[in-house]
Amino acid sequence: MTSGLSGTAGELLFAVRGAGVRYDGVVALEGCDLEITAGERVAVIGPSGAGKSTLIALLNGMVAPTDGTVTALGCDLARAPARTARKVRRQIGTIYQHFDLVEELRVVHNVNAGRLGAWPFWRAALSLVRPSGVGEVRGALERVGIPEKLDARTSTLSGGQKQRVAVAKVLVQQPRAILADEPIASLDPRLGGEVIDLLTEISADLGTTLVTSLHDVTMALGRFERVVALRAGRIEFDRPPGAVSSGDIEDLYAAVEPAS
Amino acid sequence: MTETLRRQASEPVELREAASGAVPTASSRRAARLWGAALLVVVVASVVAASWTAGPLLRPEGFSLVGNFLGAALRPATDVAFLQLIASAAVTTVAYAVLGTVLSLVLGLVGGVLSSEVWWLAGRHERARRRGAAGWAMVRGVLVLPRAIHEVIWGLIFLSVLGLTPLVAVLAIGIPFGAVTAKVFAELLDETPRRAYTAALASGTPRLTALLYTLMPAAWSDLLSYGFYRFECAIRSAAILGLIGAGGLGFQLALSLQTLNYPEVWTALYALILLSAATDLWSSAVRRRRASGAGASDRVIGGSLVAGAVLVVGALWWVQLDLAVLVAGDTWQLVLQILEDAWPPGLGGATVLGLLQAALITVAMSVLAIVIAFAGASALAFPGAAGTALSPGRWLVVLVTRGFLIVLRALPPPVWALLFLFVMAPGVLPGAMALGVYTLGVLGRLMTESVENLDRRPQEAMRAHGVPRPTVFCYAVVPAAAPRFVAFGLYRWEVTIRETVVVGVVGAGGLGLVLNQQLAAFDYSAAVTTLGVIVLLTAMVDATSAGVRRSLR
Ligand SMILES: Nc1ncnc2c1ncn2[C@@H]1O[C@H](COP(=O)(O)OP(=O)(O)O)[C@@H](O)[C@H]1O
Ligand SMILES: [Mg+2]
Repeated sequence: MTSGLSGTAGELLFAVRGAGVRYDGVVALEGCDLEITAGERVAVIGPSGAGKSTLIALLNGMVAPTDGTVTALGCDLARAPARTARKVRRQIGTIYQHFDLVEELRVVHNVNAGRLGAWPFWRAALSLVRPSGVGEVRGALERVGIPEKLDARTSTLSGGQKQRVAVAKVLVQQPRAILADEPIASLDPRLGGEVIDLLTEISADLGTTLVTSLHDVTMALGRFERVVALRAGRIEFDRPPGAVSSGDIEDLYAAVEPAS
Repeated sequence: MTETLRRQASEPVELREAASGAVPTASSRRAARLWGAALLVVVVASVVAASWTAGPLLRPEGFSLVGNFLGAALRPATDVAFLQLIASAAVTTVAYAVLGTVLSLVLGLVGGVLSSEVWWLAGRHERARRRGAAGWAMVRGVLVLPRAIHEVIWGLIFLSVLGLTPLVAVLAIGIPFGAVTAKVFAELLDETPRRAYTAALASGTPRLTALLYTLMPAAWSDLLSYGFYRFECAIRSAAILGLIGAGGLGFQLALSLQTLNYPEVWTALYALILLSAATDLWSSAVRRRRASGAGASDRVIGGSLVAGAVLVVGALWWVQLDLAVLVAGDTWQLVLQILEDAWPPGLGGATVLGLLQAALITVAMSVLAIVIAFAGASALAFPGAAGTALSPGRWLVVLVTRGFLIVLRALPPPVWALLFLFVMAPGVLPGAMALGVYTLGVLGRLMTESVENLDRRPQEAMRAHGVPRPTVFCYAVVPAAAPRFVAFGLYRWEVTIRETVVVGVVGAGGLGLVLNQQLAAFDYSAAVTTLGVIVLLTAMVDATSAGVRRSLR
């Protein structure tokens, strides 16, 4: 991959200021302030329903804040014209818990789906007939350890393999930031650890910013350099793992939670 | 779970909704009783309205004609010249059906995307959603009109604009079928899980590309299998369009009928039945394969796709579509002229009272037809359903019943109407019977399939307890089948009200007759009014049927 991806260290990539999100009266997030700079590796933790998915969706602009502002790469995605927003989104790769791959397609197309934003429609359409840019796809699949699956139908893959395809898809996108929403929630712990290692390695190698929400606290404390904790829609704390005590974690998860 | 979803996905979506299971609750039972009472009143009123004619209902002198006609069944015309004529007419009909289906698939693809919720609303923010909702409503509104107007009316309209050209049949099939396909395809797209689509949007993929990569792969094979179902319908429509002069088998049939050359009529009828049976079998084979989860690599499906492609090329070559008329200055001048004549809509020779009466007759005709069809089809569905381990005698019953149903639906309603007119005075009754008999054929097949798909475990459990067969039938089979039958009946009623126009064209009365006379007299401003009434009536029947179905759910 090219080296031009890494941002200037210290450059502000995401700025969340006083942001809140309400869904028909349900408060998902409120009063959140957060700054993430280029090259950081951040874990977002918190009980279920705390607002982790909503925070990730704020960062890639799929959810607009009902209060406050969110800027990604200097752009307010909720207010920017569609064309500008699309251009910025191409710089942000997102991985989801349910992989969000198209089961009916071959793996090569699902990986290519990561860079469809940069292709004109005719190229995307043609590529479904005769895959385009196969070299890079193969490179990405090698990086995640399943090069032999290039031509397999995605529905035939195991859960762990599917999540690797999702990572490969983000790799060919060559984004400046990778967002991941509970990327390992449906994998067993060993496979989950491997996928997180893969993500942090990629982030370190390419200098890509990484923001991952996680259910698994040990994973967050062990492999990230910054931990943001959410509870009931508010940021409870935001510090390096070394400064997080076991009491903090107990408080975070012990509190009475609204059912989600 | 996935198995049933898959299976359902193979049925035409419009039927899927009709057949979705009903669990009666106390309130729905009360509603059902109310609807039942209302239905009885409507049926009685329809019978009275239909049999209220000035003269006698039957024409005894017609029975000898029927004898002659039926006698000719055993000696169809077989001279080489006529057989060649029929063969070439059959090819023309197939070609119209193929090209009409292709056009409807193209229109359905584009219209389906544009009338889907996911295209307008998914992954948009508040502000854009409001704009999207407006766009969505607009496209759906635009698609209502072509759907409400029957192929034959489209055929008559295009005939007056374009003259006698193959394009008439292709457009008349393609436009209304395209609008129906668009609705079905939009539902398919909206039912496909959206996460992959929104994920693609999140990474900055343009909407159309995202749709192509994430929603189409799941939906397109359903669209193709639906295309085969449409082709089956298109064959029948192409035959009917022949009757109004568009050429093909229907046209030959009309010529032979006019000269009362019964042996020739029978040859044409046999050809039509063969064609219809063949496409029925083909289409249901493809859909059965899809239902069992097979994809394009399956022999039957793959072969059918190749065959379909060959048919398209062959049809283009055979028909030699002349698209030049579409851009010719004369055509557009004529269109402008007609539009000028048609606006503002007027009444012409008709009166408001006359239109109202014709509308009532139309409704009465559709009600009678669906009652005939429903009664016959629910009686034949059980003998027609094949189960496992059938005795040879039972197989014979299945085959005979199915063959009978195929013949009933192979002959288009206007042909049935002409046959009934041998022995009956022209009027609503022969029209209703013609529609009823034809719909019996269609409904019988739907019901047979749904009986075959019933869960057999409750019946087997009862049988294991020593319950006699007739009791099992009453307690396990009928209650399970009845809600589906009713849903199918209502769905077909919606289709039947549109088809009343078709028998109206051959003189059975109602709005179809009025419209045909107005078009023949070039009274376009009155025709627009009648069309408006037809569209309104169709919408009212659709709403009633949807209301009944909801209350039964
Ligand atoms: N689309 C939505 N509509 C309504 N409420 C939602 C929606 N998405 C999330 N919520 C609510 O917002 C809160 C935060 O949800 P989420 O961000 O998914 O939390 P987490 O990912 O931490 O489990 C929950 O109470 C959830 O029920
Ligand atoms: Mg979540």
